[in-house]
Amino acid sequence: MKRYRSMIRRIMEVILTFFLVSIFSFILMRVSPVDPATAYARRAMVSPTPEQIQELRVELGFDKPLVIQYADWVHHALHLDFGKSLVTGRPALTELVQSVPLTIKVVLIAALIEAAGAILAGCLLYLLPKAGRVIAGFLTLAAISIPGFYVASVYLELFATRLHWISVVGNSGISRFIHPAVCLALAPMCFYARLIRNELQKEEQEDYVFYERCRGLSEKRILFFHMLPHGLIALIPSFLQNIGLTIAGAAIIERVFSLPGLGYLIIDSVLNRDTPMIHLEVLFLALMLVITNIVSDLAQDRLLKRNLTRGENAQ
Amino acid sequence: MKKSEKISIGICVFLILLCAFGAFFAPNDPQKVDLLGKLQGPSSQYPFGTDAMGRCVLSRVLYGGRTTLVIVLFSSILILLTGLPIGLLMGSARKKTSLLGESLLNAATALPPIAYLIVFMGAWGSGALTTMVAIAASLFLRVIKLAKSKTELEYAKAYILCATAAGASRLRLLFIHILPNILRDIILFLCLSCAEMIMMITSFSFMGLGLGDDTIDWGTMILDAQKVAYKRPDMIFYPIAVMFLCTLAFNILGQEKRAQHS
Amino acid sequence: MDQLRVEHVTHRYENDKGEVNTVLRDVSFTWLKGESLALMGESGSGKSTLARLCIGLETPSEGQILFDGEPTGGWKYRKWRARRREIQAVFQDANGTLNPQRSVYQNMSEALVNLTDMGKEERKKTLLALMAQTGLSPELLKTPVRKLSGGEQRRISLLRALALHPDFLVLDEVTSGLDLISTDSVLTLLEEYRARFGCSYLFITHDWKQASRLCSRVIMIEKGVFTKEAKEREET
Repeated sequence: MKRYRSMIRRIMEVILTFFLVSIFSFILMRVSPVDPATAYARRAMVSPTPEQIQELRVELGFDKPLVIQYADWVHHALHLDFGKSLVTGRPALTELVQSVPLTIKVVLIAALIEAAGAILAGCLLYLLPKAGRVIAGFLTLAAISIPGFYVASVYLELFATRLHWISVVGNSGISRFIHPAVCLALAPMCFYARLIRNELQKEEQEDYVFYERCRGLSEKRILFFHMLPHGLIALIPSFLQNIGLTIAGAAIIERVFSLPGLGYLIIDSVLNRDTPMIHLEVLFLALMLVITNIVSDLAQDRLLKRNLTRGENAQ
Repeated sequence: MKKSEKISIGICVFLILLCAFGAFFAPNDPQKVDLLGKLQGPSSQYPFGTDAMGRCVLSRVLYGGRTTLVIVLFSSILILLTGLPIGLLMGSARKKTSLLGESLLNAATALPPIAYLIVFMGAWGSGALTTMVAIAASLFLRVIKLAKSKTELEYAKAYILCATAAGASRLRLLFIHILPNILRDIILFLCLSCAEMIMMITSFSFMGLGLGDDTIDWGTMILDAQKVAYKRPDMIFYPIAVMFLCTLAFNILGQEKRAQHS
Repeated sequence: MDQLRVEHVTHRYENDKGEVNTVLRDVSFTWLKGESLALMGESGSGKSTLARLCIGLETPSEGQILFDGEPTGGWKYRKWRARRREIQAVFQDANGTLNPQRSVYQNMSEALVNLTDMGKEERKKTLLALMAQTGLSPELLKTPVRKLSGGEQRRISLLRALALHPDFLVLDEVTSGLDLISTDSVLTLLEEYRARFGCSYLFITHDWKQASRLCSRVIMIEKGVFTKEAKEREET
């Protein structure tokens, strides 16, 4: 019974987020200096006359009062009808559903690469004390200061144009996803490598390490089977949350690699002021973020309990 | 330890100021087109050479810095002055902030700044104003949330209890006791946000969602440089390098001070 | 104020998950001006909560606290401030009870700044005099807070409260975490101050020896309930 209070609060936050996000984008449309109908007309036609724009406005339903527009939208949304893309004319949901799997694949592969790479790099840095500290410090900062699009561009140029390892056109299968995933994973990997190194250093101070050394266990065993799991626990919630943020950030990388995933779609919609698409995309982003946040919160709760008991045992 | 930290902080601040005010030292007019002299290599007149329209690359980089940094720094300062007090007041509210208010804040800050940019740009189109408003909105809410949660943490500490027992008024508690203790963390956060903002502005303008056609910006410079990479492969490095150093400086500041703190 | 009475106070806390924790159950006692009480119990028995209730940092869920017969239940922040000169408190915290961002002088003069009309010069004089009387070097005023030892921090916290010359002083575990020498210096300070200026202490502790040194009456508390009261070291 008592648990339910926090769950209710969370659910409320989730629902609130969705409403907030959709109302937000709706209101902005209204306050806009250039209304969407005009913007779309200017893009679609050569020199639209005011009558044409007005026609467009009525056709797209932009002339009705905002509240009614919103109510309409919500009503349709509940029936999973999010309107049609102003760019392609196809249903918005279809466009989204087509692009999302690509992004999800890239993000998941990137997450795997990040995790594996960070653990390896983190352990390595931990094992080299002095050099490790300097490298770790510098690496993290440098990695998060280089813009993603540059990394992706250089990567593409290097491996595609120069070395011909990748064919630029017509990829299929997993190779299509690996390269964007690597670029996406690079910065977070360095970031987490450093965090892992710090956690390992903290773990070294714990009693059980000393105890196990006395028992004669090899350093490697201690590191991999005991220190690492404990160190990683603290980082898991943040890592999970990061995945949600990566989904949003994948847009730039997708653009460079011409991968028609969600990010690519979003940028396109924004460039073309494709309003129905944007509403849906932003809503979806919010959904993804909310899910990953909840998962990471749950993970934190569970893991925190485990950590607490561990602390008691250590005493 | 202290001295080397001070030096690195000094270098970072210097770098940032250089990018912000370097435009004053620009050797040439960044907008001046000279099609005959396009794509030249570095020379005495044009230290970084010229771009595809014959404009001085160095000057453009410096002016790009001014644009970006003015937006970033100005927003940060404005938000520090407005968001911080609001967060303080919210964090000290006696009754628990209503479920609705807190959920609202959490919901609003769950979206990363990039989502704000997307929504604003989708509605208003790209441009300097849109970018500024989007960034400011996101940052404002995040600073409020940070200030509020830090304040709530501090409120439970003993020195606040003691100060209350010593008769401090609520305003005094907030601004004379709590504020100095949370200010450092807030500033660290702002430094990291500035780095994030520079990255976002540049990335977005690289993708065509920039600050407007007349504005000089690193993102568009990088985009243009890519197009002429076959002839002048080095041209892309100048804006990238400067942007990198700038972002790095903010990241270092955001971290460096933390070392000082602990 | 001559008398503080706690009448049938029950206090509960509710945490985020909705769990209710009853920290104090129907506790009552009278604290007269001039007498020093010890409140003894283990951690979590509700001692600190009682301390906070006595000086109005929180309002009891049930029951009331009376200053000279006047219930303090409905008092607003401002009203409490007006009465703070009469009763002060010093708390215990692992992080220290002094604000690390402010100088020692600023920390010590906090109460004086807020509750009196003294000018800066007068405050400084008062504090220096008090420091001299209690054996603290005036050099401490210039020392940054982090460089102070635990014992010094505690004594400075004490002086902050004592500078007002309150009638009543609540001391919540002010010697915990201190080594023997520091503990002794704190207790000596309290004894000497009382001998010179007079003050009634509510000394919260879990250490019997310290309690008996400073106080004439002992109240024991266990899980929120008073279990024994002893006067004049009758019981062990």
